[in-house]
Amino acid sequence: MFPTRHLLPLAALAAVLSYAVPSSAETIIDEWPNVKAPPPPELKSVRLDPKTTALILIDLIKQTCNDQRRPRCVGSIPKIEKLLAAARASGVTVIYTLFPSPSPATFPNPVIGDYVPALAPKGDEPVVTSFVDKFINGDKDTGLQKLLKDKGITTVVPVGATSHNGVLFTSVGAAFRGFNVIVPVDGMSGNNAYEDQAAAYTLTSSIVYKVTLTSIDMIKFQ
Amino acid sequence: MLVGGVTLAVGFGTSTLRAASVIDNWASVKAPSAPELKPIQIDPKTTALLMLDYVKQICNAQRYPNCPVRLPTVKKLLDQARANGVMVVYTGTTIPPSERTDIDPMVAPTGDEPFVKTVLNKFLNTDLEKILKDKGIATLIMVGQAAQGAVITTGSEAAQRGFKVIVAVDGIAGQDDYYEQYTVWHLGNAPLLANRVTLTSTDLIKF
Repeated sequence: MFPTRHLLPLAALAAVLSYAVPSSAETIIDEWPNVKAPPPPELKSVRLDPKTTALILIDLIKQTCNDQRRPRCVGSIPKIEKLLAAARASGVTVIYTLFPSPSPATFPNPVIGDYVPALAPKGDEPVVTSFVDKFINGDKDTGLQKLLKDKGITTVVPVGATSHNGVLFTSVGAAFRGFNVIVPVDGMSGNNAYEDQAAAYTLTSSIVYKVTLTSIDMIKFQ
Repeated sequence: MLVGGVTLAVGFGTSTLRAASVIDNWASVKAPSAPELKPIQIDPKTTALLMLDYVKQICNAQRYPNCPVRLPTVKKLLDQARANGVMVVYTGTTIPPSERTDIDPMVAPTGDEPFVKTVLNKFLNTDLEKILKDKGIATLIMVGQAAQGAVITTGSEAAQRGFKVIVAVDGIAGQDDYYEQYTVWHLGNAPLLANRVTLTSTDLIKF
């Protein structure tokens, strides 16, 4: 009799292939209702050296991180607040980001004073401004890479909103610039669960860059 | 960190799965409704067709199976573009390494059609923006792969740099259907992009 345990890898492979094999339909629009999510990524515990780690808070401003616009963002605030306190207590570098308004006439450019109070910066914690990937703004360098290198940072922990824009693209940008990237899944938020799921899957399934997915209570600074 | 680079300098503990955020509800997450594809009339003088990474190293049945399947559709669009004088620009990738000569013969470049090479975002570390702006290009039609890689990053970057972006959904291929679906949804809905990206299909593009 064939040992059952030998079938388990085959079952797992079959489960993977059931979502991974693309269809030959004309467009993904045709297949839209039938698309299945891949298995959830594994979260990993991490111990980070405070001297070489930076916590990057991404676009957590009152105008968008509120119950009306993004309730998932509001839900993430207490967790990020806990991480921020632990980071500061350990001497971790903390960096803030903002985004330029795409339509200043109706949505004034955010300023650092717009950060949600629980996560407001202290002292001279630096701020960079850009859309999505915080390392570049169009064809201009935001200075984030130099800021990190000058402080001897080798590991970044991006948190904030939105998961599928600022967090995702800044994480990818950091990975391509040689930084170790640690993303706590409960520290990022989009407009809905689908955006968070897609961001988590994208961050952990690339064949050209590596990002470690974790949760806030699985991060230790020491 | 790039795959293949040094291992993480930080210390990692034992891998464990803990209750957290979307991971808890992973299986119940539903995709939003499919977006509407729109017919579009383009100006050949100010439009370029961007052919992303049709190189043999990734456009094959093992790596991205939908790529070879969709080549005839892309070939038809390419022929129409050239017939109407639309600029055609090709890209390759550095992971894995590829060259202009690696582009699939069915859609290979002709004459002096430009070729730029980098991984993911094709605007980074290339002359792509200058190549386009020197020709007065304001609109990009994007086809290619990978949906979750070059398509989503280059499409986002093009929109941020002020280009109008047209994505032919039957001309892109991803690692799997989930990635293709998310890429289409993201490019059509993400902040800033929604107003600058048009989702369409090759037969809805008129020159």
